[in-house]
Amino acid sequence: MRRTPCALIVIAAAAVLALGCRNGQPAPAESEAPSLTAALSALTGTYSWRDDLKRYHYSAKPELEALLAARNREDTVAALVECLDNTTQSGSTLDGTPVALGIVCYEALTQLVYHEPTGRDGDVASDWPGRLSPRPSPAEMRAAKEAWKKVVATKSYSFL
Amino acid sequence: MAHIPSVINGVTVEFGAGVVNDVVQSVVDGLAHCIKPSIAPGHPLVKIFVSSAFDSHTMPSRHMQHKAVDVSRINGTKIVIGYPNGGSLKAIVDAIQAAFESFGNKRENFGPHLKKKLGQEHPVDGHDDHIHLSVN
Repeated sequence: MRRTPCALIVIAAAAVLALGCRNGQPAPAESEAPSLTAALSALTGTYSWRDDLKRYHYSAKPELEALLAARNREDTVAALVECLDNTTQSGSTLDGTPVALGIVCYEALTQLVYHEPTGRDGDVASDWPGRLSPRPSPAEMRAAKEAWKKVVATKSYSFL
Repeated sequence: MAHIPSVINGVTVEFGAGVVNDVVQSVVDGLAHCIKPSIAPGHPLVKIFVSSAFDSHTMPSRHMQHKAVDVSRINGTKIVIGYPNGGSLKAIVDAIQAAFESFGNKRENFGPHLKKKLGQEHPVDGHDDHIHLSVN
């Protein structure tokens, strides 16, 4: 069977993950980030606007789910937050051009957990710098990372 | 303090690992109002997953006032995965949110289908991945 370069990268990333597990337990946090970001970078999903959802939709969500399911959840959250300001081009695209790896990390993070910012009245706040569109500025990516780091520090997130 | 039961109107309720199930009675009443097997005709509701109640938020969040609950999975499928595909999951989510609007003590009703506060449109980011229901 002929394999594409992307398929080989995914297989290699899966092998790294498998080797990182010991006695059936997920790899420790320090080895979580490199294999995870490599696997996310290798994904070839596309972002497209959905009028019915009023937002962009990422096509590779099932593949993301498979990647996330194989990992320690808390370590994965920390690794994904750390990746949020990564501007390296990924294999995923919007309008035919690559999106930053940090966006794929954001997609994975928000498929695993969510955070509800609170306003002074106790209701959910209308906006929050932790949210990212698929084509943010580097400053927006840094702001999102800082916002999520505070969320992790206060453990104010929930698993979906 | 009241607790969300493990079965509501015949629908199984599962809880996330970190969920602290302490809420005011009105939250339980609000769930009983909109969590029903036939809430979306032709699309049976069997199970919901509560991802947050009195936990994982900071004061003055309504969660920390025991007045809010989040639901992130329907019939075992994450809303963030299944809703964009339409079908039963979308029908059920839409029906739950629509039904909660007729609950007398409703406050916030945020999810993929509606974003309403006290019955009025209320633009708020996020909530494509779960339903957030709160009471006064």
